Amino acid sequence: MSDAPLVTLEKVSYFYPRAVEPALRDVDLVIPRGQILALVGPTGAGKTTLCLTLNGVVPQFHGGRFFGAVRVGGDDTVEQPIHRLAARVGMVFQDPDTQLVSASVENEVAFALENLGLPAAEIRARVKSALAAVRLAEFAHKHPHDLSGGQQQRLAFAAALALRPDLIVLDEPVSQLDPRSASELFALVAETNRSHGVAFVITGHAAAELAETAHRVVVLLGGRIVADGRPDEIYADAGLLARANLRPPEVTSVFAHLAKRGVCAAGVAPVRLGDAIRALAGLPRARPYAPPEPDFAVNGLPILALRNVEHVYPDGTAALRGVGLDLFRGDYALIIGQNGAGKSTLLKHLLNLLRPTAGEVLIDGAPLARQSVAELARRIGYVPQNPDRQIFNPTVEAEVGFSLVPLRLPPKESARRIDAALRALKLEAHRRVHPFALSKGDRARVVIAAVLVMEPEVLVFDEPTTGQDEAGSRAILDLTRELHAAGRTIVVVTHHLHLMPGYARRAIVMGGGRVLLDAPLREAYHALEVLESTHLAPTQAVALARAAHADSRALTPEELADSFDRPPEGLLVMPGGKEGAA
Amino acid sequence: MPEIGAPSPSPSGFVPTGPERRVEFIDSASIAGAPVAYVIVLAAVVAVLSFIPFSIVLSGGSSFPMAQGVYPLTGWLLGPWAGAVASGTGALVGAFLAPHTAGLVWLSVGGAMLAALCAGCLAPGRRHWRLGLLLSVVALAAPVFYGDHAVNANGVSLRAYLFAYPTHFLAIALFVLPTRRWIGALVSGANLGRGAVGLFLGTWSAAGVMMMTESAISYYLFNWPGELFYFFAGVVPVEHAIRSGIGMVVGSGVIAGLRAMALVKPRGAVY
Repeated sequence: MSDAPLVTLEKVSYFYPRAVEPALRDVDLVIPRGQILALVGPTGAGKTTLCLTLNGVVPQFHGGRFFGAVRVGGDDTVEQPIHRLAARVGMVFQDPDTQLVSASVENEVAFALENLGLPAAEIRARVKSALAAVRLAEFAHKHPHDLSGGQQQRLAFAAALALRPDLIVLDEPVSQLDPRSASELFALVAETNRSHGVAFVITGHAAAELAETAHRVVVLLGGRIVADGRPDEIYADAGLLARANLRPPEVTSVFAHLAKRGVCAAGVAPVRLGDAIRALAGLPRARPYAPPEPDFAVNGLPILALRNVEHVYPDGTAALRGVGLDLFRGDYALIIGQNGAGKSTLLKHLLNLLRPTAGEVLIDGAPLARQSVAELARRIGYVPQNPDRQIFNPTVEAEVGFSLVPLRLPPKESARRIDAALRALKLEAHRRVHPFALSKGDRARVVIAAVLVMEPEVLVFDEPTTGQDEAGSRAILDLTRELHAAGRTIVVVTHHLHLMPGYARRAIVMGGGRVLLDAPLREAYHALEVLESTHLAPTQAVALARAAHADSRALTPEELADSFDRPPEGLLVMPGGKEGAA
Repeated sequence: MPEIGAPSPSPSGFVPTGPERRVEFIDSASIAGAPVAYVIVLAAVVAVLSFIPFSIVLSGGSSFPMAQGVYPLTGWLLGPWAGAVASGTGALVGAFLAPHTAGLVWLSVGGAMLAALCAGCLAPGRRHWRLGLLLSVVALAAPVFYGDHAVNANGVSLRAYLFAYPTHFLAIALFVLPTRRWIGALVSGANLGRGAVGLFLGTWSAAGVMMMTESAISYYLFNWPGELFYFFAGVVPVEHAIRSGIGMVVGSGVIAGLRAMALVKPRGAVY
């Protein structure tokens, strides 16, 4: 294997067409062969743009002004055709739907190989080995759209892997995956890296997984590289993370809080769960943390109720099996479960987009099926997972105000609602901008604003924090909390369990089309067996809390840190277990 | 390494230190500088819009499809040649999938290509001037041929003929006169409002040339009664306004979106 670096970026700057400021600013970066590099930064930092320079899509496909040079295996990406670069650089996007084009799983993997003109026998062999590597061999003849989100992501990965590239770029690869599927994907990355020597560039906000897997973390901010180091160096730098709107792994936060409380020494904190559990041995014994559950008052009749709802799709898949559920006015409910657990099917029943095969759905005690989708839209606002499927107006303002047109409100009232929604989502500055000129995170906020203007009683958010950085996620969740405080009923479906303490009050755990548990958030997060049964991993804070004390019910790093007593004056415990002088 | 000179500063004062590179789409999968993917997408759009009928065109014997409003748009988005391929392919697929709007298949496909070629020439400056000149000859020949056959061979009164097609005569005038460049400048300008005006007038012009040419050939084949020309006088302007309106509405949205998404512009694109 050559010692020459695999990728070299030299003073790379890039302006998108008509953009007045660059997306990348004088980026210098060298990636050796076989390295797993995590590229992190806030929304709009330039992560995706940098990824797209690696296979020539930027600037060849997007146009604009390009400065400097990117070389992959010695090839200049401005001078090489994209199809040739594609054989060296595999790309897997955030939403696998956007890159799956074939009618069967095996054809999908074969597609790029056929375009490279490889012999049929070679293609067959590579398809077989790539599908085996991602454990999709038994689905070879299925249609890609019949796979779950996690399986689709693995299929896109297999299609990239079959090219036997030197480098695979994964752009936000796990934002739509449940925690178990995300862990599996990162395990696959590590395994492919070890067995095939493939280098990876991975973007995203999955701090815990990146800290476990990456060899190196590069922080991008405003199109510049502002930090470059090992995961334990980067994720332990609280100042840097705050500046870049990044969240450290929860275990790192726990030790940062412990250091603040004087329980352990400040400095290098563990960034991996295993290291953190080992470091617990050096800390004073934790007290059990079990605060009393707050008593949530239930206000009369449920606003939405499911009674023994079953749903069987035409292909025979039973997506819901006897689901019974009450959502009360003023509820803030979190729905969790693995990909394919029935969450999306359940949401579609709440919106009358699907009718139960058996059982019934009620709104204020009356059958929901009697209401049209349009009538329901005024009462139940739905914020879908992928904002791009909902956006079609030429400006942010027009998009946000579109749903008000059929309501024929007085112009002043329409303007008031639009202004309020734009202000709530911090979109006022983008009022006249085309939605597709915004980052994906901002586009998600546009869609939320478009739902908010309807002032619905119930708001249903499907993965609202996908693709958002720490600040963006918190802004959206803070907004849900404000809406909840104003009396709205909130339902959130998300895989980002670590974000929900402090927001949701109740968790509905789904698995195999059934409601496995409907309990207060703390109880649900610590129902480890139930979570395991639906392939959900507990958050790092919960896992560490249980490792610290079997009876601990701490939910957040702060709560966990509170369960430790400060050691005697003058003694500080190092995270590795040694004691030192204060 | 091809470079194009010293870097220039951004408004915030950032000056790239790397050399500026010449940016072009160098992959082989392109038609006259337009990525094949774009051509396929627009052909699909044309095919889908072929399903939607608008009104009865007595001369062609079938309803006209919504796609007629976007044939010119393919010319502005892809350039004349790639636009013609997209339009023609979409119209051909549409003719099989939606025969209720197709009329004579070869004429529909040819007309779709002609509209895209004309629109691609509705460009600022001297771009595609040779093609524009050739199409101007076609545009001027069509009404002469049509009128000659109607008036001299079939005895239709000249008044009835002139009365039927002022819409298309205006369209041809907009195409052959320097207004062609003016319309192109409106479409390619940054102002979306002026761009919408340009799209309306441009669709009017390009689709008008298409309709006049198609009508001339159809009439030569079918020789419809002279009385119908009076009926056309009422119907043709309405239909043509609808086509132009479709071109303006769809075109404004698509061009605004494409500009915002910052995808690479095909070499011959006018927007």
